[in-house]
Amino acid sequence: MRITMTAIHISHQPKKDSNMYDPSVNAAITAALEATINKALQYDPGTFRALKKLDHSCLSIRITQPELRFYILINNHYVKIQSYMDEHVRPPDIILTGKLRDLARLKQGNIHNFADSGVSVEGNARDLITYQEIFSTLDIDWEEWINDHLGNLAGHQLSNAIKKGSRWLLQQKTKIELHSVDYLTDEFQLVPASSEIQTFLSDVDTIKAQFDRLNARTNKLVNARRNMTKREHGHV
Amino acid sequence: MRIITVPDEKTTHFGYEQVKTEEKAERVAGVFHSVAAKYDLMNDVMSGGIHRLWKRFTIEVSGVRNGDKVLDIAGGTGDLAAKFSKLVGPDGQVVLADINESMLRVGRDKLTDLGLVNNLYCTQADAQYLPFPDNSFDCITIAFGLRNVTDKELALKAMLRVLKPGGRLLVLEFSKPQNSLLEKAYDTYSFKLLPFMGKLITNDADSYRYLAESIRMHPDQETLKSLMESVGFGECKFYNMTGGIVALHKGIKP
Repeated sequence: MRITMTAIHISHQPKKDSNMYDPSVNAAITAALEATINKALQYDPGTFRALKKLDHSCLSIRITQPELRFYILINNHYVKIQSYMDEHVRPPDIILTGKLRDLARLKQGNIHNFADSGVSVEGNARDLITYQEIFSTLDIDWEEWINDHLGNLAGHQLSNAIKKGSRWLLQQKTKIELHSVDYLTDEFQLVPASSEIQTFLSDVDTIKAQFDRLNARTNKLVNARRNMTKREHGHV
Repeated sequence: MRIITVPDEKTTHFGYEQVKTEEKAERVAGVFHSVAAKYDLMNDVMSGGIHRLWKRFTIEVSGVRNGDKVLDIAGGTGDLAAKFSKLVGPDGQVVLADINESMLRVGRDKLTDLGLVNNLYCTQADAQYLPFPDNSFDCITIAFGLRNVTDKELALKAMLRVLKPGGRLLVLEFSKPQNSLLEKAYDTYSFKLLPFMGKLITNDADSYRYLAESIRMHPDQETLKSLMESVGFGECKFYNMTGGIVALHKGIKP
């Protein structure tokens, strides 16, 4: 089944070869990504096996800001990433188009939310769902990768340090989000508090309603006066 | 735009030197006999490894798939042929052709060591007189070899002949930098540093001086594209890489 879903804009055929960078720069990026992804997959046997479902498929990612295009081809459990492909010869099965930040946020969403994601999608719905499932269950054993390079003892120490550091950063992020509002409103008084804004808006609504009533009453009086004048002229 | 001077019936260029036409092939052969053993190492040193990225892009543009027949001309030490062998699979075929026996030996041995023996064949052949039937190949590549060919037009005609209709020709070659500042830096690098590195690593400064000179004598991007079109290739285009230091030309046999 082939479907076309559009989000913010009608899906279009971008101009050919629309990679803004030198091909050798693109080749360096794709080579690095390809090596990293395939290396990482060695530490996630579940995902490695699941890739079989997407064998011979092609996903095209068209980033509009910055202007870049990549093709992800899966063949025999190997993920190949290219910066160029002749789409007349090998049309992609799925095309995702959007800004880099919107595409990155797809990871957190689900495919039912494409309309709000800023990403347009064309292609085979079944393959898209498979990509989404595989991506959501990605579980790379990065600790094993560290152990392979540093040994079990040093690797374990480093893994613990990284996990502690990540937890601390997450806690700090949550605290900042919670306290920043209070700092801005109570301590520095740079912005009004939410309750103050609500009160202000409520007052505005009240004044607006009063004005509407006054306006209606005035119009009524003017119309009554006009009718009276017409009647008087009519009698004369 | 550079102008290609029509070679005198009796002389042509060997770098900046004018030599008899019939001598050029022998002089070029001498260069490559000399550099064959350390060719791959010198490629990495001279380009800082970037040649791998140029070749990677070439393979992407080639669109080679399972079952294709590919001819890699002047394939030398087999970089491209090795990659193509994996892409075409057991149903496809890759022919590595080079006029230079020393380069071919190095390439054949390297490919054998990699275990690429089932769908890969090596043959000594002159790009101007390709010993294959008409309409044989889905894709032909020639990487950093065309500038060494005596009669480029003759070679391009031969490639057109042995390509299948709809087949692709890819010419990866040094070209003219698109930025004058880069061009100056490139000239300094080519004429001062390259021969020095050649002397240091292979004890052969002259071969790498020829390399730099032969690049300057090669047609620029538009001229080569026009040449391909005049020979009969269609949909000709080129991609500049690394500021135009290298260009990849693509043409299709109608």
